[in-house]
Amino acid sequence: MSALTPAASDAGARRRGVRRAALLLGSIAAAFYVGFIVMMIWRGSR
Amino acid sequence: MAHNDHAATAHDHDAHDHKPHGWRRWVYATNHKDIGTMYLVFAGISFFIGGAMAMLIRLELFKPGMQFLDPQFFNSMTTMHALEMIFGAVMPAWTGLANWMIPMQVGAPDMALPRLNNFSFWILPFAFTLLLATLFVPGGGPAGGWTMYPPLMLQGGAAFPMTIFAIHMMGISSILGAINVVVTIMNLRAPGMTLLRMPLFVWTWLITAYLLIAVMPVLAGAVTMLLTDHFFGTTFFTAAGGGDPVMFQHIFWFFGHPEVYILILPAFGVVSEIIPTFSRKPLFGYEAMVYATASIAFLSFIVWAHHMFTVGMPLAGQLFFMLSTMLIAIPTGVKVFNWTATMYRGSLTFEPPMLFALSFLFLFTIGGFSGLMLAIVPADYQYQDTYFVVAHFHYVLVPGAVFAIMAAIYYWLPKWTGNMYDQTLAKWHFWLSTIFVNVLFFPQHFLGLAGMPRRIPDYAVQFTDWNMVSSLGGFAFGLTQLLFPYIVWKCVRGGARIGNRAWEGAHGLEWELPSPPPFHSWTDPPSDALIQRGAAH
Amino acid sequence: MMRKILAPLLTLAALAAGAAPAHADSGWSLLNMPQGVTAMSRQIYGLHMLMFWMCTAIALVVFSVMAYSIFTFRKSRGAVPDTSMVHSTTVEIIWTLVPIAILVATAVPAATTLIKTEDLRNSQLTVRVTAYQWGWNYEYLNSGVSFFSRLDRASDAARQLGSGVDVTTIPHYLLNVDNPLVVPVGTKVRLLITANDVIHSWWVPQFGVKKDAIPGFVNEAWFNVDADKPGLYRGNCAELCGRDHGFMPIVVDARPKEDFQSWLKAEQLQQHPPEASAPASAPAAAAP
Repeated sequence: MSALTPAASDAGARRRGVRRAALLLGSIAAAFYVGFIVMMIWRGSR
Repeated sequence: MAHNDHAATAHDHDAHDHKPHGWRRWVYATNHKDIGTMYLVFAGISFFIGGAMAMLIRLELFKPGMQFLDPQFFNSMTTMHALEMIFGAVMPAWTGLANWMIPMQVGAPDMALPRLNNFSFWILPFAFTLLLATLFVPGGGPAGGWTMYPPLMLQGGAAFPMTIFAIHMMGISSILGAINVVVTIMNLRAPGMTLLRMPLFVWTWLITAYLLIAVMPVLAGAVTMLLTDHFFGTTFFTAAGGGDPVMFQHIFWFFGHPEVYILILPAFGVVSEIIPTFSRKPLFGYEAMVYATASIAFLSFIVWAHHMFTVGMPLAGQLFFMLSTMLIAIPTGVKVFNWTATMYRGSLTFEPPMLFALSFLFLFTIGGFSGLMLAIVPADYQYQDTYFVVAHFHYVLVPGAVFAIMAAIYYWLPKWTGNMYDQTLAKWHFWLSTIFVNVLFFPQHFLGLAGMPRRIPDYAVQFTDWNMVSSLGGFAFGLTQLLFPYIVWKCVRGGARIGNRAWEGAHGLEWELPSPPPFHSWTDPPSDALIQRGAAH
Repeated sequence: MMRKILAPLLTLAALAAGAAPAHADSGWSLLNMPQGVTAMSRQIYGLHMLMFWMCTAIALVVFSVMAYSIFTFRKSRGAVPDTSMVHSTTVEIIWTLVPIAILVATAVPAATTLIKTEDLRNSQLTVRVTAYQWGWNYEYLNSGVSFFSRLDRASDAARQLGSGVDVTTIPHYLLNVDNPLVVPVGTKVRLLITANDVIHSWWVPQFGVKKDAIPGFVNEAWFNVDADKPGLYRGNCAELCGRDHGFMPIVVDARPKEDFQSWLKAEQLQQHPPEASAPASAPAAAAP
């Protein structure tokens, strides 16, 4: 059952993929979220 | 060879599952089905709270003269009704359905980020408690409309900061939910589940999730600016300090128009699942459907100012937004034509999910037509802020989004519970809903064209007749909806057992799992054969 | 050109309107947009009807195909699904191109009309409209005449919560004001619209004019009432503006030009007596 080994490495790759995608989207969303607020306050305070 | 005994293995997994019991199961929930259930229950509660507010509105509007409500309270009812229904009912219902169905449909064991999933749900009850609490603070609830236009919104009392914080919380919840959906779809698809084999519900939700991530921060920015204008002396939206009140409208609708598609795109997905099932025929033009959804999502970013044709935009701006808005009719038309072509030369049966999907098809199209009329700027000068607009967006949101949610629940409830619900009662629910939703909203087209503005607690006497019809339709529609939780509850408690495939023509991975499905959906990824059988297009 | 496109549709519209008397007060017959009393409002009405009939025609076709499919291809009638019918590039191109053609055909008259609504040249009278919570101030530029216009007393008393008044007995309930805006017919009247507190919107359906009144900004709009259609025309504030948003009507009194001039003179005398330090009082000229 050599299927076990790829599956295990698949799980690891998948976990890394999830983490990478989540961090990427999370930072995009956070950058948008904070960015919009900061940009607007900065623009408005001039 | 593997999939034949899959059900058995899945059951073994289920038996081995150490799922927590009692309140811990829900408060600490990390399972996609439990969280999906909580989202759906939450949406149901909000639907009835928002519905009760609508009943009060229709009660006051039953006849001219002020009978029951103070005008300020009436305004807070229209405001809260919208916030409850949009952020409390429709959006959580879609997130709940996404939680339940996406892992099952893409061949994943669960959502990719289960603890984040728990967090994004549990923000919501607090957000809505905060929002509803505004009704009990001095000055009453927010009364500036869900669009929160300044300077009016800035006149709000204690409810004002509470509403803004509540909206921030809802926004964060939606963003986290959307991230979870994207990560799940991008990473946890079973091997062989290529993007163009995904069911349309998954596709539409993927696109919706991107929209959410892109626009919820814009809303957060806009309401934060309102907050600083009110409390910290900024003048973003005050002309006297160099600001511009119309700027808020631009920012708000840059969020607001994609938001409308956030509410309706998953409905397109659901209808694209249900119509093929009950037509016993693959969806016509699957790829065209995917591209049409993507085009609608793209166009939603460049049409926002059609909500504000009367603010005095330059001619070029008005022309641009008129033309870009009209363009949306093309991908939307493609969708309607594809659904129709799916039924054409099919073999149709009319179980409750199909009935609701057909009602969606007809009535959403009517809402689309009035939307097209609203795009025509000179005519929009007459329609803007009248009951014609109210009729339009209720046609796309009630028989549109809400009926699609009901269709989805009637479609997948047997899968979730393993029991078939009372179809006769569900058909009653359908017929009464479809009749009364039209009695409720169709006359509002007449009222708007005849000159009745929206958001008014009282009206000139010539509008009495159609308002009475609309109110009666509203009360009947409201009462009819009480059938829904009863039918669902009865089904959860028991009913005729069903096999894996609740509907004869159903395709897709979720129907390869047992009903009810195991606690963790696909602990072993589905085989390629199963995926091919599911993606029958 | 516009008229040529619209002519058959306008005829149809007139037929449709003929089915229900256009000016009946009965609520049941209030089904459609008023044609209005300005050339522009009629053009908008024509555009509205063009869109309406176009949508109706498309709806008839699409809904017929849907209904046909629903009735013909029933399993209970032994329909067998044609599972090979999954897509057709030709058909899909056709049903993308046909809507594009229809949209272009409607965009042209829509844009033409829009350009006309934005043509503010050659106005003969300018009135500055300032919106307040909850009333309107009208100022006739270069004549020194200005006054407030609010919901009339009878409506205001009747609309209070639990007033016990049968509002059907109030003439023009919620659509009547103390001092209407007086304008001459057959004259291009330009409005400079602004607001003093929150956003309002000045709307008179019979003129096809709706323009937001935004504090700190001035919007422009215009109308030209047909010379043969003097009368009282009513509207409302159309943008949610707080507690009494629903109680902020607009009444325009369109008079023949001579009547208007004599009214304006009388108003000037009243508001600015030649040799007196008269207190600034509300104008006596009320609705006729």
